[in-house]
Amino acid sequence: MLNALRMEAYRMRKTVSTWMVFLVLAALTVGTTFILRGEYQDAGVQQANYEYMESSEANENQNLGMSVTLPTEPGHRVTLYDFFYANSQGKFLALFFCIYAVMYTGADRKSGYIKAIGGQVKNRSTLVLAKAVMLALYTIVSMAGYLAVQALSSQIFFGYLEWGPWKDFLPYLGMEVLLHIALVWIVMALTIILANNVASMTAAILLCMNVMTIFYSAVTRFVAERGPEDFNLLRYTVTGEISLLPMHYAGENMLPAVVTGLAFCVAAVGIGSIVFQKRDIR
Amino acid sequence: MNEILLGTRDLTKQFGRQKAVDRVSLHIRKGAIYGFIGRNGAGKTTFLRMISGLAKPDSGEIEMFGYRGKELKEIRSRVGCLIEGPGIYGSMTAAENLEVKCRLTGIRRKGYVEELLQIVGLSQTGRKKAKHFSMGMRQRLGIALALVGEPDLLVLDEPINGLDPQGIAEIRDMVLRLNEERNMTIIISSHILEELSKIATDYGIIHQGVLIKEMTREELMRRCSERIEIQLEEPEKALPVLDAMGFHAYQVADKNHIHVFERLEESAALNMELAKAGVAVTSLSITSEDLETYFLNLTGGGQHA
Repeated sequence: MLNALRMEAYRMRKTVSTWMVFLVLAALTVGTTFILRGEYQDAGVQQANYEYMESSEANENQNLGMSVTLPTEPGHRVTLYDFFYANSQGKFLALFFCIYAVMYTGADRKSGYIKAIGGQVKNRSTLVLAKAVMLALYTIVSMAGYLAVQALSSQIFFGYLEWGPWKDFLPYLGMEVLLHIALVWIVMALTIILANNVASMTAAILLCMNVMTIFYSAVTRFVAERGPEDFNLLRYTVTGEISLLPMHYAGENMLPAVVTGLAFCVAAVGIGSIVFQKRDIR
Repeated sequence: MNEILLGTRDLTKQFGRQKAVDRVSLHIRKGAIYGFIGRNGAGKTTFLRMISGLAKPDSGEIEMFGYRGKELKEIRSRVGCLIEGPGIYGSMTAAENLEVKCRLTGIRRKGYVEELLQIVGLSQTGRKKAKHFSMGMRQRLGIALALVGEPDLLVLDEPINGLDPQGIAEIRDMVLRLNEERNMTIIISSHILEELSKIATDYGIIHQGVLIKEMTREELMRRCSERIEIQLEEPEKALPVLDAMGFHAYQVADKNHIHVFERLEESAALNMELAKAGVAVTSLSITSEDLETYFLNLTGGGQHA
């Protein structure tokens, strides 16, 4: 396992996409901060955004498509927490991590390199586990890098850097890291199962654009009509939790999100490993 | 060189209704260069993928280095393979491609990658990315990857495909050196018989998934060499005549043919003696069969000519 990790770490370091995806994320972070500055200066827009965020949180809704909306209360300063909340809740960060997950996971199959190593390992699951560990590390490091770029952009375009309330920011950050890792591992498993980079990339992007909302809404309505009225399938999915995790925690909100994240982590790696182990390498 | 390093028993692989490999049982001696011959689609690659651990057989057994069944995973690292073209990361250099696999196999020895590049003739590639390599260079890098970890068994699936004559000669020389200097057992598949005949010590011929012939180099050469071919009704009646004339190198090929491999200039005299002895000879001629014809006859290809 350690050797497999060393191999994946070396491969990740030497792969151009590792750096390219993050550079694009960083560039877009700078660009979107610049754009958001314009919106923030418009009081009407700021009020509308704030009300929209409040209602979304109350109704536990998830709209089809992507939108990044600052949750800053009118008249208040935009904090780094606000930026992070907007970009993670809107799956702006998740989109980049998922794109990279597809490219990274599928690279050894697409290049054919897997033929040189797949038959020589005792247990092919170690290759999947090693990929999962490295993707988790990439997610964590990239999030840290994003926060650094966002902090710098905030200072440059807004003229100040406010961090936000740490007692809310840190737990939220921790939860979003877990949920984003779970999403990345789901995409990794999809890439292994579909064995087609185009299909996997399409699925990953659609996941980030909340296309599964259509299915979740139908199931939620079906169950709510027959069982508990407050049932919401979104609360039991990773993409749903990423969107619906509130900024201001009550302690009891964390557990369902943690359980959901961990459950999908285990399922994704488990299913991906089994499929990779059983399937012939072509 | 008689110890069997790899043996299969009734190995079968099916895709839908089609049996790509149909109960293949073969034996590869330690230290041999085993030429695996077959047409396109005969089942060579599927078979090699199974013994390389890339595909699971539907039935049958593989025994390698004395291990079989689930125990095989313990010795998988002793097999290096190049299957269906080299799988390499195009954005990395030759050395970086090798470094990836070295890390997986736990090899940390300084200079190891440079040694491998030297063996396959890629030590001058420097920082050139693999995607800019020629076909021959890519094949050699694929072989270098297969050599990482010092395998005892090297599986090469059509390594000379797409190469020019110089490239083919380089691969041939490399294979011979690896076999002689490292006592490496090598399985090499191809449909280019002339090339295989220059290096292989043993042959297996596969057709439509079925192993139709296994033979040593000497046996193959004997079958293809120039000879007196006698077609007759009762070969057993001709044998005393051949013995009396002092012929030793002959073979009863089948129930109607005798092949004589020596003293071809005495074919007329042989014919007369057979007639004197009352042996009914249908035809007597001096013939030879090149490898290609021999292979085509074995696989029924001649009927399509």
